[in-house]
Amino acid sequence: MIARRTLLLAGTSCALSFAAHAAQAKMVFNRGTASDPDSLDPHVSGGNSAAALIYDLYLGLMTVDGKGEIVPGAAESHTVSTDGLTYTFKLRPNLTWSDGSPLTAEDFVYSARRVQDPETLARYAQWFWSIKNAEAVHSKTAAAETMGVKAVDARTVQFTLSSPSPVFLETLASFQALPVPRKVVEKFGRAWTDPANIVTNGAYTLKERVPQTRITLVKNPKFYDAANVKIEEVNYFPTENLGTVLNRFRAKELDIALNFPPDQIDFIRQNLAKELHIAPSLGIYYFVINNTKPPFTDIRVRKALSMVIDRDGMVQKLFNTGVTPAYSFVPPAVPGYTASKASIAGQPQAARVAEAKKLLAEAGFSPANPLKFKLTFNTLEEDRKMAVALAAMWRALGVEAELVNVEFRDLQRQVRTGNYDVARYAYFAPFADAGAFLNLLRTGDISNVSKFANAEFDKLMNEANTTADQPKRVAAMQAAEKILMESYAVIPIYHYAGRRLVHQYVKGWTDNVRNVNLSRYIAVERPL
Amino acid sequence: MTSYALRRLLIAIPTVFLIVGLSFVLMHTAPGGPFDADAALEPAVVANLRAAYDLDKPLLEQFVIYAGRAMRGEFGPSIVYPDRTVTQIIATGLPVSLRLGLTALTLATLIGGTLGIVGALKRNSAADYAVMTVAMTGIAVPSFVLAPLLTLLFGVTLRLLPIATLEPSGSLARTYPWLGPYVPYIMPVIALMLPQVAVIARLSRAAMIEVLNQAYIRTARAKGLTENRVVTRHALRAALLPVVSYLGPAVASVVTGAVVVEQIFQLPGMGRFFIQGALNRDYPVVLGIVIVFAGAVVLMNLVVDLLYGVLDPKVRVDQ
Repeated sequence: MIARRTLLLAGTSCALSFAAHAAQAKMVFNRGTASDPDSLDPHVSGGNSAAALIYDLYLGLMTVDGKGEIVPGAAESHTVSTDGLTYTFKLRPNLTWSDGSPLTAEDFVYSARRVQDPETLARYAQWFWSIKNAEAVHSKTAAAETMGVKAVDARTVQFTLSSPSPVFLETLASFQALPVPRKVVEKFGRAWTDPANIVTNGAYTLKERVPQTRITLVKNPKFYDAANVKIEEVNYFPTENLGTVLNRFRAKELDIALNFPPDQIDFIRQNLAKELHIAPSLGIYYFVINNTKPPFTDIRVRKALSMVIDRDGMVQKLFNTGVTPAYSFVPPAVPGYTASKASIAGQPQAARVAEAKKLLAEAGFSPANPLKFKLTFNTLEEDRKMAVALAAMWRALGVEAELVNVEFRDLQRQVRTGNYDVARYAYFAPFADAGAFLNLLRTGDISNVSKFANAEFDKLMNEANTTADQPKRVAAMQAAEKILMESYAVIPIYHYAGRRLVHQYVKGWTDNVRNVNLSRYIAVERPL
Repeated sequence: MTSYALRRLLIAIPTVFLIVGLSFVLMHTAPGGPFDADAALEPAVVANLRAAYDLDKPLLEQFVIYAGRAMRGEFGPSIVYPDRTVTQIIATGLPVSLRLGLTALTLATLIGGTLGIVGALKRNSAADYAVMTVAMTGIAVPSFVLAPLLTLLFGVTLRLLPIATLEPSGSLARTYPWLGPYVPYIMPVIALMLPQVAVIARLSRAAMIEVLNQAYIRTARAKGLTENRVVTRHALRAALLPVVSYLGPAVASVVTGAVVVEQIFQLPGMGRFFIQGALNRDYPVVLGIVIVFAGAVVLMNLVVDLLYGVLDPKVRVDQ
C-alpha cells in the first residue's frame, strides 16, 4: 500500500515536473477562434475565422503590425508613381519559403494571377479589379499575362492599375493577396494545404490540422524575422458555442477568446474585468429599407422610422456590450475620417417622436390607416430582442410592424433579391477605410440592397474612388455620407465593438480596429 | 436466416436511394444557398462558383450527376470547406461519433436495464421510487442543460476534466496519464448517457412487470424454480424485447451524431458536421451524412429484427 502510494506520488511529481519543464522549454499560445477555418488556401478562404490563422502562415508584400497598422511585409520598401497608377515593391533580400527554396517576385506575380484565375474560385477576386485587366482575366476575356503585374527582376514586383486606388496598399495587406508556393500548388492541387504538403513564408508553418478541433502551427525558422518571434507553437481551437468559449477561457484551455455570450457581460465585468477587452471595430449593425417599394419611396416615412429609434437608450439598456449608437454609416473607428452624422443626432427623444408623428401624418398615415410592413430578422436571440424593441418604438407612432423570423441564409437571399420591406443587416469592412462602407450604397453596387439611388452621391463616391489626393477624397466621402444620412436610405443602429477575453499573462496583445493580432508579436508568460 | 437478411438488404437499396432523393430536393428547396454569406459577392464571382459545383444546372440534372458519382463512391468536395472532400469529413467524424455513441449506449443499457429490473422486482418499494425518480429526472433534464452544468463543475471549478478538447488536459489526466485518451470523453458520455439511462430504465421496468404477470412465469414458479432462475432464465429475455427495439434506431441516431452534446463539448463528430452543413447549405456534406445515417438506420433495423428471433422464438423467421 505504502509502496503503491509512493509510486503514485512519484508518478505525479514526475508528470508535474515534466509539465513545468515543457512550459519552460516551449512557449505555446492557445487561441480560440470562432469556427473551423474553411480553407488554409489564402486565395480560396472566405476570411472570418480563417484570416487570423492565414496571417500567421503567410507574409504578403504589405502586412499588419502589432498595433494593427499596415506596414511593409515581404517588401522592404515601395514607391508609387505620381499619377498613382504604378506601384513598385522591392522585396527584402534572401527571402525563402519554409522549405528553403527562394521566394522571388515571380511568386507574387503567380499569386496575383492565381486569384483572378476563375478555376481558383477566389471569393474576393473583385478586391483587386483596380489592377489593369484583372477583371477581364477573371472573366476569361483576357490572358493572365496581360494583367498589370510583373516581376521587373527577382526582387522587384510592379503593379499597374487602371485607375488610382486609394485602398490599394490595404488590399495588398489582405489575406487574399498573400503569396502561395506555385510548385506545391501545382503538384498537389486541392490537397496542397495538407500539413504534409504545405509550404509557407510567414512566421509559422502548419504542423497538424484536426477538423473541428485544433490547428497547430509551429515557428518557421526560415522566416526573415524569426529571431523576434517568441511563441514557438500556436494552437487554434475552433469553438462555435459561446458558452463553451467562456468556460474554456476560464479554465485556461484558451489564452484568448474572440467572443462570449453577450448576456454574460455583467458576470464578465465583475469577475474578469482585467481580461475583458472591448475595442471599436469596423462593423455596423443596421436595418435596410427597400427604397423602391412604396411607401418607403417617401423620405418622410423612412425618416420617421429612423428618427424615432432611441439608440442611446437601447445600447445602454439592451445591448450593453461595448457597441456605440450609430448616427452615421461610417464607424468612428475608421482612421483619418470624421463621419457625417444625421441631423437627428443630439435631438431630444421627445422632440424626435413628435416630429416623426408629424412626418407620418403628412405622408398620409393615421390611426385609421396605419403604416404596416414586415420587419425581417434572422434567428438569433440578440436580433429578436432588437426587432421587438424596434417594433415597440414604432408602435408609439401607430406603426404596425410584423416580425418575420427567418434563417440567416434565407434572410441574405430575400434581402439581395429585393423581396423585403425592412430587414436586419450587418456589415464588416475588410479595409479600415470609409470608402469600404460608403461604396455599398452606390447605384447598382451588389451590396446596395436598399436600392438607394442618388446621382450626386454616386458622383462624389466616384471622385473619392479615383483620386490619389487624400484630403480631397475625405471631403468627397464626407459630402457623400451627408447626402446618405439626410436621405434616410438605411437605419444605422449601432457600430460594433470587438469583444475579446485575453488572459493577463498574454503579453503584446493590442486591441485594434482591424481585430488582427498576429502571433509573431505576442508572448505568453504563463504562470507555472 | 441468411436469405432473409440478404433480401432485407436488397430492399434497403431503393429505400436509401429514396431518402437521398428526398433530402436532395429538401436541401435545394431550403431558402438561401452556400454563397449567400455575410459579404455580397460580385455576380461574376458567384456565377463562377456556382458553375464549379454544378449549381447552375437544372435540379434534375444535378441529381443525376450526384447520384452517378455517389454510386461510384465519390461524394465530391465540401462547398464550404473546399480543402476537404465529403469522404474525408465522414472519415474523421464517424469514429468520434462511434466511440462516443457506443460507449454511452452500452453504459446506458447496462445501467438502465439493471435499474429497471431492480425497480420491477421491488415494485413500489423505496428502491423502485428512487429508480423512477432518477429516470424522470433523466428525461426531464435535457443534455443542453446537463452538459454546461457538468462543464462548470468538473471543468471550470474543479479543473478535473478538459472542457472541450480532445487533448488530455485537466488534473485527472495529469495525475493518471494513462487515462489521457479517455478523459475528453467522460463528460460527453455522461451527458449523452443519462437521458438514455432514463428511457431504458422505464422501458425495461414496464416490460419486466408485464412479463412477471404472464402465465409461463407462474408455471416456472410453480415448478419450484428459484426466483433468481425465474428472472434470469425466463423473464429477462422477454423483458428485453422492447429495449432492443428501442436500441436499434437509438444506436443509429446516437452513432451518426449526438448533435447537441458534440456542439457543447466541441467534439468533431458527425453531428457537428451535419448541423454546420445544413446551416451553411453545404449540400454534398449533408447528403453524404444522410446516406451514412440512412444506411445505419436500415442496418440497425435489420439487426433488431434478427435479434428478435434470437430472443423470442415466436417471431423466428424462415423456420
